[in-house]
Amino acid sequence: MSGDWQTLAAGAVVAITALVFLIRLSRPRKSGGCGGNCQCGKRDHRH
Amino acid sequence: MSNAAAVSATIALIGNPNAGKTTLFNALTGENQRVGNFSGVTVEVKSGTFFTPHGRKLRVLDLPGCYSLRANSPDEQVAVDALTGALPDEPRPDLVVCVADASNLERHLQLALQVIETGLPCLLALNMIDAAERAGLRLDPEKLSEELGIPVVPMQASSGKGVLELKQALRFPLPHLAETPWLSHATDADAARRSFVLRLCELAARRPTEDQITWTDRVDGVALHPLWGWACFGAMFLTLFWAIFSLARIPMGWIESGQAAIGKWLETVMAEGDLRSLLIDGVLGGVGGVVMFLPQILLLFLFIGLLESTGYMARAAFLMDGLMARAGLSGKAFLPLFSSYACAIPGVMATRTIDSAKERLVTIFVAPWMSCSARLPVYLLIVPLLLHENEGSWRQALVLFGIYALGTASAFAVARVLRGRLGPDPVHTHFMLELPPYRVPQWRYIGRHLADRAGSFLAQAGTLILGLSILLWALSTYPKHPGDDPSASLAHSAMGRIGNVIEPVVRPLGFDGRTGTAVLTSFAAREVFNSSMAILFRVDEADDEQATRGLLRDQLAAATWPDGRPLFTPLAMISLLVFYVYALQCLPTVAVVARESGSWRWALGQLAFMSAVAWVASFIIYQGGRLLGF
Amino acid sequence: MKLAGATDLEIDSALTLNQAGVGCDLRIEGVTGPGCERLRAMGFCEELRVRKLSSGRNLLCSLCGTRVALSRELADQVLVKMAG
Repeated sequence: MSGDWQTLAAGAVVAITALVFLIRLSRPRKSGGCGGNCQCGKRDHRH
Repeated sequence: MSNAAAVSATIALIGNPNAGKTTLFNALTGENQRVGNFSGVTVEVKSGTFFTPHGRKLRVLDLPGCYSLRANSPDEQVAVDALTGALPDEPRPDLVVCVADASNLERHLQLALQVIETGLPCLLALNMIDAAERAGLRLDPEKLSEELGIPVVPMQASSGKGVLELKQALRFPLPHLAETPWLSHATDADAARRSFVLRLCELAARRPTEDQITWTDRVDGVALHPLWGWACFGAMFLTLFWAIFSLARIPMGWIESGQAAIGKWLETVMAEGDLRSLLIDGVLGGVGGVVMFLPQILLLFLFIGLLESTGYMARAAFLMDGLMARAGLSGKAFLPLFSSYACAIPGVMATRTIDSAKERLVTIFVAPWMSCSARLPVYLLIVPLLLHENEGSWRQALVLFGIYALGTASAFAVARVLRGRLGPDPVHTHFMLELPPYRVPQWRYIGRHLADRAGSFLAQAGTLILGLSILLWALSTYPKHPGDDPSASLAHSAMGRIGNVIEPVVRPLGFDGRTGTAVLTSFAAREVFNSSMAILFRVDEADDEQATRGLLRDQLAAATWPDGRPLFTPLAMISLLVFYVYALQCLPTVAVVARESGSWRWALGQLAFMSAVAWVASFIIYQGGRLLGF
Repeated sequence: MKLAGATDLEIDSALTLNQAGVGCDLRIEGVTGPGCERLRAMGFCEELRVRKLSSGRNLLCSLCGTRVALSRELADQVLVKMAG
């Protein structure tokens, strides 16, 4: 019994995750920088 | 938000390029700045507005940096035009603020004198006063003001010090015109200015005597020594890698036990089922497999931050220049390449400082082979497997050093070949670099930087990695196979089938279908390799429900091929490590390379080249090793 | 044949920064060549004092308290004289 609700819940989580990914992929990428997740701090390069 | 108040006056900021003019401009105007192009010229001039404490609205122009008003270049011509009112749509400014670096007055004051000669009211902003005082310079702003005949405001624009005093000095009526005593009885204006400046510096900006050997000189005696310098350099990096394996183990242990504890708790509160499996194997296992390496990544960034903050970076660039020349690069390529050890994306963007277009392209091309921090979780997962942990951290440090050295050496080799093929530059550029004095690291800045990186690392783990882990879990669980056999279940699932397709491609490299699938998923983000492995290899310990969920490493150590042979032999692991050194698995990098190099062909060519090299190198290692009997 | 004037002798006794000995206090007499703008930008101006700290592929020198490294080719473009 409890197995069934877990399967449903898991399925829901997976479906939502997949949906979020699809939405993010289809949205045009913000230009400027690296998309945010390159973990860089801004650095001032002078030479 | 435009202010309706009328502008009382326009002031212009002028000074050498490195005097901190723009910092001052930003400190004055804050948000109220606008970039505009003066017609006919490609040089940018910024203008903005601000209010003085007396309530007047002033407009300020940030003129291009220049060394003199002789107009040797388009920049200088714009500055001259601005001061003489020759710029279209721009009247002569009412006052000029000369921004000078207090540590370099011998050079900067020349421009100030020329500006005074133009007949405009002037003010001297003596910037970077903190650095000058630390260097032992004895500055006397009052004496300077007396001799020059204009107000002098000491300041440190980067910390905001003195900005208020500057605004207060801009009271109406504006300072009167100064005289030019150095020009009287002078035949050569340049020479007259020079001797005036030198005399003035003797009086009001005394340097510590040249004979004084500073602390910096003493340290540089070692750091820049042809032999000891390199020894220092090598020792520092080895220590870093050792620290990554030993010091970071403590916080790593906390994270791992935390992960195990949560898993245990979930097992007690939830009955067996898909959701529980999703949470423990997918979320906890997947995300945990990456987050666990946060302490080590932070250690790397701490090290980089210390190097930059103390001023050692310039010495490293100096040492590396000779080596880089052999790769066809110059010392200027050092910083971008070094930054790529953290992340290739800012490294590629930093190549903008390289004058030579061809050298820039080559640097961009090889930057991804400086093993970036995203590879660390993969390296740190495999290296301790390769050498059993009780063999000591120094051996692991050496192996890691070897991995980094491999990437770096390959990058230099390819750079050399590529540079040769691209041909010589039209204009030859030379190495010149200022070595700042050593200083105590700025801990607050470093701390903030570390916190930023930890934050964005966790944010990425909580979003991209989490999402991918969930999807990977789903792919490896469904469709379900009836029955209890864990390996059959995996084979039946979507992931298993993908694995079967991939396996022929990766088998010659020593990887099985699961590893191959994990490699494929890491093209989204390298760290995902750990998450995928965690999910794909959990099956092996499903038989043993009672035992605590082992660490991922233990699971991998126990993994076998279908016929029972151990999967992760030392040779297979080396092959895997080499693959990760060379493979370009970061789509954001490809995008940035395309943008910075101006060509998608260059970026895709790089992707194809690096993927091919990764596969071939791995193949040679594995098959070659098999032939040799390993 | 034109006799050498006093200024000609002066020029002959000028060295390039490259040729000067290490550890010497020098005064810059002139900056020439294609790199002169960059050299001036870094602070290599006439009449400024400079001390050479090391030789080699890249030279190290101390210029008005600032330590600067520059390549041999650039150092050839800086004419110096021993400071009195």
